[in-house]
Amino acid sequence: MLQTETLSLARPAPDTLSEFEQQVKNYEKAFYHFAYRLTGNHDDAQDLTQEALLKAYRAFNRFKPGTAFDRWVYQIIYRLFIDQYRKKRRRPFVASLDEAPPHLDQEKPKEVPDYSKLPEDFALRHELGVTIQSALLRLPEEFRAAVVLCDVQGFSYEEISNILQCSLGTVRSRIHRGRRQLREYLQPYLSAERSKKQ
Amino acid sequence: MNCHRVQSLLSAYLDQELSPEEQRLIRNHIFHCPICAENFEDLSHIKSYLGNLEPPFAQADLDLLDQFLFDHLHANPSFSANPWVWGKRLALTTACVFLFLMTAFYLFPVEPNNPMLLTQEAAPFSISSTTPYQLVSERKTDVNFLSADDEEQDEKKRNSDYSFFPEQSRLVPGVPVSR
Ligand SMILES: [Zn+2]
Repeated sequence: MLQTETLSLARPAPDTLSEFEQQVKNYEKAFYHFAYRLTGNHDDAQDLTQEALLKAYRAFNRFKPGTAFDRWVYQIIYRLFIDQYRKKRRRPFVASLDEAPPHLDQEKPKEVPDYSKLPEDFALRHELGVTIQSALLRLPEEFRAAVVLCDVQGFSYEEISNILQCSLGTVRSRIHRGRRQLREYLQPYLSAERSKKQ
Repeated sequence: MNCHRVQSLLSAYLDQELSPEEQRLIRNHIFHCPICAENFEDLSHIKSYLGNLEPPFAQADLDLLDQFLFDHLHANPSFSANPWVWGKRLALTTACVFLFLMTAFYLFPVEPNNPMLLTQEAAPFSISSTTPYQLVSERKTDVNFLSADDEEQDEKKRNSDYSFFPEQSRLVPGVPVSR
């Protein structure tokens, strides 16, 4: 009798796995893109996405069918990222994220090339991509996540507050401050845009 | 609205996350204020830079991701589904089976001079295939792992361990012992 019960319990639920895989197929590129923008490199992005998807699968029975699968997984990716980042980080953690941002200016000043004449080709787009990514990585990770979810992933503030589990006001402030910092870091590109216009 | 207030709302304005009234006020301000207008231009550029970022991955990355999921989810879907619950169920089942076997041994001890066992001993090759419980006498197993000195100490220890049992009980129930 014991054996019969064990056998029936060990059988996997047939629908769960295929349903989960279908959901993942729909969004995996976006998940990976998000993880890449957060971590800034392929290996970490890969690990982060894999870990998040495993975690999602393990908790899939708690996922409510009517709700947004992608937002749920973004939330898992974000939390994993924050946890890992805090473990890895050598600097002491800044207690309130929405207070003063870390003094990034004291970190190694970057060589700023002259962007006043920008060729419209692939090399430039690639270079701009690299510069934007490194600018993103200089943001506090909460600002980075909010900005990426808004501008790369295209979520509304309400959806972002859902994913990051914070208030609308906090989302607004993180995006605003994140973009303001990006504006500083990308100043050479922005002035090039301005001079192009004139 | 002054410039400071306007600039604090520019990002939300850009994302169309303001009330219609706030939007109108900011639109008017930007129209007349070149500084805030430039600020707004910069923010829109940043938004479009980010929006136009090319996906960073090669197909190989996604293939690796799929492979990983395939390996993990298909290898053992029941455990992936909730390893914690399954671990507990497995432990519980093991405990039940163990308890059942122990109870059976104690309730129905096999006498060493049981006629069935005696016949089996007469035909040693059939023991391995027909004896239901392939256990060896505790004493015999220990000997394999102990040096001579240890053996002596162990002997004392064993005697004291079992001293509260009557002499016959030293035998592990259910196990045929040949001396
Ligand atoms: Zn102004």
